[in-house]
Amino acid sequence: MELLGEYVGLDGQQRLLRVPCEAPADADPFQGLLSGVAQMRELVAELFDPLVQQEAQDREAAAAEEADGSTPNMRLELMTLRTRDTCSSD
Amino acid sequence: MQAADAGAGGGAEGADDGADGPGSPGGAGEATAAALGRAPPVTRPRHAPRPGGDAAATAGRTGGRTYVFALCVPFPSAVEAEIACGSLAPDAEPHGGVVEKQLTVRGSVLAVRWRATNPRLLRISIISFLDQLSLVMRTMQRFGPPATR
Repeated sequence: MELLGEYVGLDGQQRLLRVPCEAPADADPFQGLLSGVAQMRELVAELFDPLVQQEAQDREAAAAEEADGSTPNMRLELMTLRTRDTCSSD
Repeated sequence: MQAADAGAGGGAEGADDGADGPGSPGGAGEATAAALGRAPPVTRPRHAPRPGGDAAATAGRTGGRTYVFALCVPFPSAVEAEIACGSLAPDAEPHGGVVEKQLTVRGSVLAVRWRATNPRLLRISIISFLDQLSLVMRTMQRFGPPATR
């Protein structure tokens, strides 16, 4: 007997989380299940923590760009133009 | 405990080959495979249609903007799985527009499937469910098996 979790991300990548939950023959079956649920909880947290952090970073980057009012390409063009102006005035 | 990558090169539609499915022997293995929407092992006939479709195929159909998580919980008996489902199903998702959750019972296996557009809220929902599931199991453990009539 095992607890089985299956995750599918935005890119279609799959992750399987398997947690055995067999209890000894004379033991309460729920004891094995409870232990398995606790382990699955940890696995889920480990699986999602980097995803949540990445999504938060992406959101911050998008918000910063929006607040700046320009994209990285536009900023590069502005810098190039300013450099030309500086060189031409010399 | 194990966490394994499963066929990353196959894409969203490539998860239906059952190669990495549970495949555990006995009725629980079939129910688990059916609950996750995977084809059961070829040596056993399929008894019922899939309850909710393959998790990977679901994500593919939504255009790839959805996170999907499926969980199968084997109970000692079908009655206990039904009791757990009845206890956990009424809890509405606080962020229903972002996270969807569906519970089904296949034999003695409780299957749960989440679809969400936000990984943080999805994580919260899954962990909250596992906490509630743990409480339900402790209650069943404390009060014993259902009385037969």
